[in-house]
Amino acid sequence: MTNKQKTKHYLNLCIKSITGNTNKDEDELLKKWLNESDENKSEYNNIKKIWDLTSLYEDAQLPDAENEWRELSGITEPADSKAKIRAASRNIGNKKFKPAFKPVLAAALAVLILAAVVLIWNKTHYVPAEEIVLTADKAQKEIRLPDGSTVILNGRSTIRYPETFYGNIREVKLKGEAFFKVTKQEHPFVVSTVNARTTVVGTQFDVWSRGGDTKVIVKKGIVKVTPKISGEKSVRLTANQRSTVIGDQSPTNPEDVNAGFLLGWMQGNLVFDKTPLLSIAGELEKYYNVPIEVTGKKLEEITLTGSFRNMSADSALSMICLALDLKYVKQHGKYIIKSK
Amino acid sequence: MPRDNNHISSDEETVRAIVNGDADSFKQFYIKYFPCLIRYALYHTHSMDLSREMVQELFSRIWIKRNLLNPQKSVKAYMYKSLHNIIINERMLHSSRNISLENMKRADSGNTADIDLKIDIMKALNSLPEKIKTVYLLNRSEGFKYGEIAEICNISEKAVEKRMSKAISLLKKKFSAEYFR
Repeated sequence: MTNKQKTKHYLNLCIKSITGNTNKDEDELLKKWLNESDENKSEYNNIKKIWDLTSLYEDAQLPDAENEWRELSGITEPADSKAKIRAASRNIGNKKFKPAFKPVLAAALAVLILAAVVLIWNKTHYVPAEEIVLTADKAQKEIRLPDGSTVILNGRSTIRYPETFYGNIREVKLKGEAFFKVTKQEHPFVVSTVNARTTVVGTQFDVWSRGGDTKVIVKKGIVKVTPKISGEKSVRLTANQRSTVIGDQSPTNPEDVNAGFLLGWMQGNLVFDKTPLLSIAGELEKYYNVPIEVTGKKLEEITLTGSFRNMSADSALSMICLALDLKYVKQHGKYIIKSK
Repeated sequence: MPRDNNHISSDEETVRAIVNGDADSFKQFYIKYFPCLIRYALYHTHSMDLSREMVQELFSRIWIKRNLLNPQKSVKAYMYKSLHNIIINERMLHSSRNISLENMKRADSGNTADIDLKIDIMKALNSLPEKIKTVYLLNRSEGFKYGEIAEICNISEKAVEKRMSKAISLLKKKFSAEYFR
């Protein structure tokens, strides 16, 4: 062994000893080496210092595992778990919030956003006033819910929630699309859509519900999607997963997706994920407020994945055409996409 | 420093029960591993909230995909690997999430007087190459033996030794001379 190799060997021994990885023979060897010189001793001490310095979280106060378990089991609902949290919340969820709506107060209209506050009165109980927020095309609105959770409401969407959350559940009703950042609290948070209920404790996720279908994309944490038709099975999603509930069917199994990409609408992007060209044309038509037509039967079946941002209608269309090897023409203020 | 590390042998039965859907065994397993996984995540994220979310996500995945667990293999290795993936994923999604004093203060219940020193240490740890950092932190945060780290990272013990010594020499360079007076 050269001197250099020897030093290296002993420095390794120092590390092994400090981290509790030496055997007896090695301990002996190290002892001898340390006694050889003060220099060796100081090398050992330097390593020990580094080791001790990097103990950042050794004494950190960790959350209570039992409490955390309760939170997790509320969502995972193990087959024969003794946790009854979920069952309890489901009962409550079904019997509340069926008031006869009597709008007393309505409507404040902004250029892009229409927000209305409606007071409701139920003949038997007083139910907290309901807030209704609507967004126009291309508009987005960030809303703070009474529990501190935040919602980013996409365009053409409606959300309804009580002025203060009532009972053992935090329930909001959604039409359209919204992204939720839910604060952690004991009571589950439920997004109710036409055909599904999405249950969480504290997490970030997106719910899209139009035309009788619901799609849920999870960005962080755990989410449970339950169809409203009883008897159909529910599905649990974790980060970067998606499930779709079509009509009265069961939710689809979790599908791995890139939530960051799909939720690009929050940054003002128009996002398409394997979307048929025909639907894309429809979306762009609404977005740019110009008629767009797709001609040719075959073209209707093509799908595209991509996102558009801050683009003119012309550049968006030329990008699509470039990607799909098509062309478009402009006739009498109308765009027509066709084969080359 | 080294903690109880006889997990692997005693896990086999528990894991078998979990595969069969036994929620009580899963709870046992959860309570046992929660602290060490949280601590490991903390070293990477420096945020208690984020670490909690990640560990919860990890366990929910394990439960949902419990039929994929192999009781004969080290579930510990599987868990750390999955947690690591979650951490990397999170970092990719939020590359802008900077090391912040706020995170540090929230994560650390201890004395705030030496917070500057701690931030230096944090920066030094974060500057290590990923593979070296992983090995070092598995050793540092939980006192895993070289053999166990080798298993978790799927490398040889010799490689663990090499990475440990690399970590120490890099850290030594990073820390300013004043800590070595």
